[in-house]
Amino acid sequence: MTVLQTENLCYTYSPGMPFEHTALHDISIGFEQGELTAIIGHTGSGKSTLVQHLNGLLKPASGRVLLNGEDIWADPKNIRNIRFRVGMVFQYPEHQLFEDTVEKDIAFGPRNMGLSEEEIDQRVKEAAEFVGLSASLLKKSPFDLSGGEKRRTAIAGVMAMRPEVLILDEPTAGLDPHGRDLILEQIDRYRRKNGTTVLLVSHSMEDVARIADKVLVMQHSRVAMYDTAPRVFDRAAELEEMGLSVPAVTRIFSQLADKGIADHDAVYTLEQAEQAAVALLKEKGVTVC
Amino acid sequence: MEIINAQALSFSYENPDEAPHIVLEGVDLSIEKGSFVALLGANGSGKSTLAKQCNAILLPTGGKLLVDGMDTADPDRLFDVRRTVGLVLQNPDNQLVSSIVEEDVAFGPENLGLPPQEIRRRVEDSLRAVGMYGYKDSAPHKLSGGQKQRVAIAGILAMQPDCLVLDEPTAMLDPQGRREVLQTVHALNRDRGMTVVIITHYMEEAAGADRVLVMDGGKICMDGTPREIFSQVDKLRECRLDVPQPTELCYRLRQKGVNLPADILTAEEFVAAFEAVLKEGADR
Ligand SMILES: Nc1ncnc2c1ncn2[C@@H]1O[C@H](COP(=O)(O)OP(=O)(O)OP(=O)(O)O)[C@@H](O)[C@H]1O
Ligand SMILES: Nc1ncnc2c1ncn2[C@@H]1O[C@H](COP(=O)(O)OP(=O)(O)OP(=O)(O)O)[C@@H](O)[C@H]1O
Ligand SMILES: [Mg+2]
Ligand SMILES: [Mg+2]
Repeated sequence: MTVLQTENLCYTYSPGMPFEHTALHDISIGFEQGELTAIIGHTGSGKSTLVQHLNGLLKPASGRVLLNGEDIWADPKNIRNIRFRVGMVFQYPEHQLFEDTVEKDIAFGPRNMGLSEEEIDQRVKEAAEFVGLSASLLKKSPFDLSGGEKRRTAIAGVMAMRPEVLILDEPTAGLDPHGRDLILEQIDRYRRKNGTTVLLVSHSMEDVARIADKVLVMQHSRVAMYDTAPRVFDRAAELEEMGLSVPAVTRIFSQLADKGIADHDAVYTLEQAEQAAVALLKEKGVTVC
Repeated sequence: MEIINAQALSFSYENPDEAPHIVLEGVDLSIEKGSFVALLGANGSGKSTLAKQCNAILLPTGGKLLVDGMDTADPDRLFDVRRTVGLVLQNPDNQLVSSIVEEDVAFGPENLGLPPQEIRRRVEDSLRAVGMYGYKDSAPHKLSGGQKQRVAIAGILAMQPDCLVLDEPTAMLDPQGRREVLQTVHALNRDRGMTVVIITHYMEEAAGADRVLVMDGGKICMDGTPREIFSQVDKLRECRLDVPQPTELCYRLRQKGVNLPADILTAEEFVAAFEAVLKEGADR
């Protein structure tokens, strides 16, 4: 089932001004229930502009955005409700932190949804745990946090709303490797449990290969590719051309294939690389335990 | 000669409504002129706080910090300290001050009192170095996340400091942008002898440094060459860090008894070492 969909979506910044810029050009795509789609693309290709349309932060210049088949702008007064259902974590966490404590910041969404105090407390605790934010930070001002702590707070604030659709704009930028693994795993678990549709903008090809069902590649305000992750990473040369790349393990196996050592290069994750390497070693009679 | 010298440097943020929180705890550190240093560490370990000490945005609450021999706490040397160490902040929004990209990049050199012609040349060079010359007349707040990050880097490059401290300069860049920024700072280091300290959560970016420092809980807990540091996978994990993917693959195969070196850093090195192991197997 298609949960979220765009039809001929176009958007232009500063129309009629000298710096007019068409950031989205005729985008028609759909996202399926429960799928995790990664959005990749060079700087300025339109990723943030696209995702901001999907929860009604930006209004299409032309074309439509459909949530469960309904135009999200059918009744503009309803857009606030759309933003509760489609949760969005901004590229810069500073753009969504404004309360005087971390705790209040995480509670902001649930409070606006009209939940009970008890329920709010519960959700704040859960969300803080979800992102690995220690309890000692909850009483601090979000502006007195480190970069990675701010990002965790912003993600927690959105998770606390338990959105039907979850959109994260570069959620792992600035996270330490342990936090990155934790949050990606948590997101994956959450969507498997709740059937949540997830969109995740990322510049880390390693993260994308590990977690995404599908990959949407943006280039110059248009969709350049939209396919399963393996089929996208199979097109390494085209990706490089666009300023993107493939995971380091994929590069290793394509180099081994070029040398005639490995016969295929369909390796995208560390687990696949480990398996493929072990198979090659055994083939050549090297002992592996 | 060292350009940065911290002696028992301590720091805590004093907020009226909070108990003081010790963020740097007796850091002893010296960074040689002309070196290329990567600073790693978990979220909240104190990296940005240490970076801000290096150009006197923050001052020590204990111990001291010398920049090219100048005490950062000496108000008479503030201007010279800031001219010596250029800091690219973690969030470009905190750094971009003007409403036009070109003016923003010119801001630093103007404060150095350089002649207009020199300023113009530096602005152009720096914007070209980060691939943003085409946006010179744009408004910084109307740029994409990665574009802002590039402009912020250009602003500091234009000051041509002796020591460049970059706080996660590539966090929001696409893979090519990351490579370009790394190439630019490596070239400045190599060709102009500029000292570079780069903070990053991308382990592969640290692999090309001369020296890697790891912070944990306000202290420097590891200090060595990339090969020395990244061959200690378990210790890095304890610090909530990681190793580059080729190193990790090697580590996993070594756990299975495969005779690969522990200090592989890049895909190319892995391929060569793996080929050698296969050949050994075939010969036997
Ligand atoms: N407020 C604005 N006014 C004018 N142009 C804008 C504005 N915001 C963004 N743009 C331009 O629109 C284009 C797309 O921006 P967008 O933020 O969607 O890129 P992105 O793919 O998210 O890039 P990044 O990876 O750097 O975050 C960019 O070229 C940018 O300069
Ligand atoms: N202005 C402030 N007031 C109070 N505490 C602060 C302030 N800025 C940072 N801290 C705290 O100091 C500690 C170190 O912060 P710092 O920003 O140096 O970390 P970092 O290593 O740069 O982390 P990150 O990888 O997340 O950017 C954190 O626990 C943070 O909460
Ligand atoms: Mg963006
Ligand atoms: Mg920091």
